[in-house]
Amino acid sequence: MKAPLTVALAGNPNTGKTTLFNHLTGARERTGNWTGVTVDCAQADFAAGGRCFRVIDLPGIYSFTADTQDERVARDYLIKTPPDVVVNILDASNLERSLYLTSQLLDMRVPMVVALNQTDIAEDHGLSVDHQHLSQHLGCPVVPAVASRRIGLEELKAAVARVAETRALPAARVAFGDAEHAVQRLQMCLIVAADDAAVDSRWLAIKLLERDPFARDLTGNLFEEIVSDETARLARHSSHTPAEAIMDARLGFIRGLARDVVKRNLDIKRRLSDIADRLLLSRPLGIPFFLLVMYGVFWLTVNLTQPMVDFIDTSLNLLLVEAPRQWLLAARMPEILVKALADGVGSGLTTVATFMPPIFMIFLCLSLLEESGYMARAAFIMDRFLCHIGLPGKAFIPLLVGFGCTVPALMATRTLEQRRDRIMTMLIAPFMSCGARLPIYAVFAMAFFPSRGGAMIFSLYLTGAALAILSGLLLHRTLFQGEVSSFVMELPPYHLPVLRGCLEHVWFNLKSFLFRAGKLILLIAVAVSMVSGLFEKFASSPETAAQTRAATGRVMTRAFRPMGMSEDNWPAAVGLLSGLMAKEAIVGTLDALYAQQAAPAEDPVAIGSELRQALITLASDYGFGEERGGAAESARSGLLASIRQRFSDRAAAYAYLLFVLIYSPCFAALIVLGREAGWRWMFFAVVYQTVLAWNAATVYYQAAKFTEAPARAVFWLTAVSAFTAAGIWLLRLFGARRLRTEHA
Amino acid sequence: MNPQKKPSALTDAQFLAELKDGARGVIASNPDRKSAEMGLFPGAVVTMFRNRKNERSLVIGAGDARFLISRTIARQILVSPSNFRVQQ
Repeated sequence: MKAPLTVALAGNPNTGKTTLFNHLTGARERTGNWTGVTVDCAQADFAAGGRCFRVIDLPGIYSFTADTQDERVARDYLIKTPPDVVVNILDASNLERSLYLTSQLLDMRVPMVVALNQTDIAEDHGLSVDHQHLSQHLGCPVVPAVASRRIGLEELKAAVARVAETRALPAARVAFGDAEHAVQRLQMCLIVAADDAAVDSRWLAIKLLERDPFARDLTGNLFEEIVSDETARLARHSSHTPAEAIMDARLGFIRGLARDVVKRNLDIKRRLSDIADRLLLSRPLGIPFFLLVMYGVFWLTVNLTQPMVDFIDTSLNLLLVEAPRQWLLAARMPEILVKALADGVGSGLTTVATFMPPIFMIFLCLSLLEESGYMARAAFIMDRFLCHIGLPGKAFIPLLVGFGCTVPALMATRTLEQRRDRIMTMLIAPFMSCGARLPIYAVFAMAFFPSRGGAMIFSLYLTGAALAILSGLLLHRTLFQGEVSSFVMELPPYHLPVLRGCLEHVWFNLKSFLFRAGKLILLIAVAVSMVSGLFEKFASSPETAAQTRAATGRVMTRAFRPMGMSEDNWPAAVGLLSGLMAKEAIVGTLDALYAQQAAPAEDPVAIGSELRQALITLASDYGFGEERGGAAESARSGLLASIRQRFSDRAAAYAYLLFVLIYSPCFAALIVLGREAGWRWMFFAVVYQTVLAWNAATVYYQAAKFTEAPARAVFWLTAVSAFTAAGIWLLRLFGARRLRTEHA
Repeated sequence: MNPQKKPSALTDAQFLAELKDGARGVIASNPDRKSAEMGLFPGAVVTMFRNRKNERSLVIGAGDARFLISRTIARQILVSPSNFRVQQ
């Protein structure tokens, strides 16, 4: 079995490269990351003429100048592990621009086949490309294609097979005008060095003259003097540096080539995309349309998936937690094992599973937005507002999704290109009050704000959004200072998204969540359940366990005294701890602890009938069958009474809710944050949010109680101001340090 | 933000940020390499599609592609008037 021949796909973004990759290989892809960087790497195989070909989809880039990670990854691959053939994908509707990369590939002297893709779009724009003429100029095969409609694939495979077998290099070479002599002279000098480094000597000469650091590193400054000589020599004849002369020559080459092979329909019709943009970017129509689309995203990701999430939660809880617990207990397994398997593994798996529908949906929406081309326009519209907090327009989407659940919101930040933007968005997304906190707000609204519950909850959401904006401003001026994102972004033509491509993209990201974050979530769930199991085991009796819990809780309330938590309200403090596991657990914890129950009821659960009930609920949530009754209401009355009794007044209740709104996200979100941004940022988020929560709750409570105890209020308000000032100073310090190390 | 001095030879040249809606031009110089490599290289024909004073980015066409470009970068790119008639 002969080793597979390697084929690399290189081309600009938005040239249909990924579609071509998927159709060439049937999308039986192994995806992952390029080692050491978070750039996607896709590899898959196809067979042609009895040989096996391994296709690598390089990141979409505009050039190999290697300023960004994408470019570096692509360049390193081609230089260090040259493939047997490179397929350069050109956008027929954008030929001149596409040829820039081609000219650089010609320098690299790799066997090449050109795929002239998107010829259908070119035709729509009144352009036609003479591919035979282009092939003659370039000296390599040029295959016209429409990848999205699978046109041209067989010819492409045949051309790739031919070139891979013969290792035929493209005959064309860019002549560098004024700098050509310099290139040739330098090339003479470094034939041996190029051989040692296993690179083409002409390419090396070009790179050295362009002052490329990569080339310098490859040759260890050996040729520094010669390069300087040639630079000086060139400066005597023309006012250009070698890099400028090379760039000019390159542009001349591609311009001449494009002029020769591209025929334009001279009545330049207005493009459909341009007309659409006139409408969709305009003030009267643009913003309403944008809001409509965003509402659609939100509805799909949050509302549509909610019943499914509830169903998964309930059914997996029964199947993976309750059922195993009963079986294991019946089989007389040790307590600790039961805890680890049922409450640990079972509960962990359930948690991970409940996140899958919203993550699936958000990536589907993001994918549809990107593929259709609307994403760029949406980014433009929001850019106006978000630029004030130093974020690009695209950041709007993760922030919006955060109102449903923080986990898909954090995953959605992958749509932002700059790491700094991603991290900043991840730090402020948790302030968008997630859906899991709603039960707590609702219960407290019923207890303390019966007539204005809705307004109270809305005020919390508003506070969350306001804090997000303020945090953004703060971070922009302190920790992330000095980085102005000036940008150029391509606006692809509007385009009907291909569902299959979107689904593949969704699957890639879903897998990523499962294997990166999912495993950790499971681990932590097992660890926590084992710790709590051990605690209960070593307590001599349930009463002692309850007393220890109460004592710990009382100690905890001391920290929350300034925000109005009294000592006998210790269940509220413990509730906050359980909120670290899952926000919706707070209500359950309060319920259990107020009623002085040490452990959840151990009654055997009738799994079959519970499952059936869950299915009925799912169906009715989606509109089939009868409405559910409000059976939960009566069970709440005990809890409401306890809340009214333990929280001294409305101010204390609202302060508590403020804390719940702002403090650390649940552990699943933290793990995703850690995986996406790094563990240091995760710790920062926990500390920042919790401290901010404490400050906000304290300020509110003390301000509300000002008339009752002015001295105490002044003390705490001053203390909070001092903490805040110190915090801002610290952030600025770290921001300056970060700026220095990044520019070092 | 220091706008570049216009070379004396290009007296008719404007900065890209100054082009009005519908106006066309040919890029004379672009010091920003990233945008040049994306298609805004010297010699490319640009059309201004949307330039509003209070907006931080502009919508332009360069060659056959369309771009969103921030005003900061657009202030660095020099454009000379083209021979084409202004097309609406």
